[in-house]
Amino acid sequence: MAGQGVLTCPSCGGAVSPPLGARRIKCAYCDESYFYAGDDFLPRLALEPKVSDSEVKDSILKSFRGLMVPGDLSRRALLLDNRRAYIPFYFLVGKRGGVLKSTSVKRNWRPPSHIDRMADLSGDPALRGMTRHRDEGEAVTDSRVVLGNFQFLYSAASLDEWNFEDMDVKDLILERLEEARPVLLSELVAGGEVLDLSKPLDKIVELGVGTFESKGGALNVLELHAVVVYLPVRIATFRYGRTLFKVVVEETGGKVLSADLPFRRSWAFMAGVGIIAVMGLFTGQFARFMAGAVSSGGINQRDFSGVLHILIVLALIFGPLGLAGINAAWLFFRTPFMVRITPKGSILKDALDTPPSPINPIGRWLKQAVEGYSREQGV
Amino acid sequence: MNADRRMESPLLLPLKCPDCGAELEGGASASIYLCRNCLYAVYMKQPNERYPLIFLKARVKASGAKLYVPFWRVKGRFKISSLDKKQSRAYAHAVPLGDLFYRAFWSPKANYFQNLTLEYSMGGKLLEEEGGSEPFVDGIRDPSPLGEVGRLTWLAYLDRKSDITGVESSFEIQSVAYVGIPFFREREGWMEGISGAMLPIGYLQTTKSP
Repeated sequence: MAGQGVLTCPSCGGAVSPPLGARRIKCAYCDESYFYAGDDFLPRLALEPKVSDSEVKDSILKSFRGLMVPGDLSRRALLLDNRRAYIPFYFLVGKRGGVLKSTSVKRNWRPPSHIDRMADLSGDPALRGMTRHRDEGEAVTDSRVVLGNFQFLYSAASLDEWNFEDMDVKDLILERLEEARPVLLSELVAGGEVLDLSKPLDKIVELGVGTFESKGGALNVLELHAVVVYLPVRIATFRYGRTLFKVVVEETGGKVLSADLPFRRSWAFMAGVGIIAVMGLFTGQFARFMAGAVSSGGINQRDFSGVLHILIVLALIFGPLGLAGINAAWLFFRTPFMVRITPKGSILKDALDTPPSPINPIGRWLKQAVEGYSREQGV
Repeated sequence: MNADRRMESPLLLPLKCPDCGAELEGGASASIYLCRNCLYAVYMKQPNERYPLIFLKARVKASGAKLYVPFWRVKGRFKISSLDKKQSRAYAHAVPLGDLFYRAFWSPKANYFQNLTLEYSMGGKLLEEEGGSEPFVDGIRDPSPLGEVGRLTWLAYLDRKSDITGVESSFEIQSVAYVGIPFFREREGWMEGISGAMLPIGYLQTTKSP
């Protein structure tokens, strides 16, 4: 931020507030105007909020409709907080120029001779091989003058906890940039929370803007100008049951940028029941088959030990599968899922760690038993 | 107040004309300030360098509010030498560029104004000057790279006549002026006062003073 220390008025010696949004500052004591010449000053532009409250509400309610979220979310979600924030982005513009050389091979064309024509007419490959020697190329160097403007947009604050990336809003900001207005930080603060520029500009410039060099020459950065562009967003915090969640809507077009919505638990319940039902069906059918085979006397004493082996092998296959199925059902029941909405689409995420499954100790024991058996058998 | 924490104040440059004492004119984000009395502009990061302030006369009739949009006008001598006679002949036949005009303000649509450079350079003799009192759009751009930008502009122009491979070139600046081109607010946009071209409203950013 500009002006880390206290500035002194050269005219009256009074303390002058460090510049926040404008290079032009005034001494409060003698009313003299000054230009702040520090390199740490950045001009600020802000995109104006264009969508009305009802349009923001519509966007949020639209995100509440979906197969993954509870059907009664739009009815039961209680709005706790609704505030505006300005997210800063560095917009770097400049001029880059230079002369680039490139070399190409120019093929020299010569008119066909009588022998060429004869070779063409006869179709004799031997004759054609003797005549077609036209690849006398020469290296040609061509120069291209480049004098062009460049522009880059990078987030100036960490977006980690916002669940979207600067790439997601880049086009949106660039499309509306001509509507951006120069603002003073004091004006912006009056309209909402202004996020700090937590990413240092010099690091961004070092990584993002540089001289382009190639074998044919270099394009040097002749000029670089950095501006901070603020994107207005609305952050709405809701409560649904015991769950708190927030929705972030950008206010230039009403697009939902991020939301962590509650997950429809009935889906988890149905998925868990489905897994248990399928696993139960398999196990039941297998037990019925074995019981039927033994009770019908189809297996004599000699074959019984062989059947026992098969039974053990099948149990070793179906046992872990059954446990895995019950474990999956447990995960579906107990994992606190949420539906994350980003500009790229919706994804299912676990909001917290899943509580340890009671099947896990049995699973571990089974795993050890299978590994032990495998070692004994030399598998 | 703790005196040790006070910074030295070369960071604060007075916005007052040392000749006439008038307050220099410029908006909140300006880096270039004007003295309308003494007719000069100064890029505040090189405060000892003054540039003549010139207002150009509109060539189109317009009724909307007028403002001046700042450009750096560069007069200079471009020299090019080539051992290739074909190249030299082609360059000799090219219509020489006039004064070069470069945008001195910030715009999200920089490429549009780059096109004006050639347009003004080709029709430079038709640009008349006048005395102006209307407001100026804030100027921000450093004039330091104008020499190299001028050389590359000339080279790009001549490259269309004949490839510039192997040529030696230089651009010697003779004078730089800060020129206000008149623009008019018409309907939902801006009308450029020289050619009459219409621009969307956001192409020019106007600012308020703090």
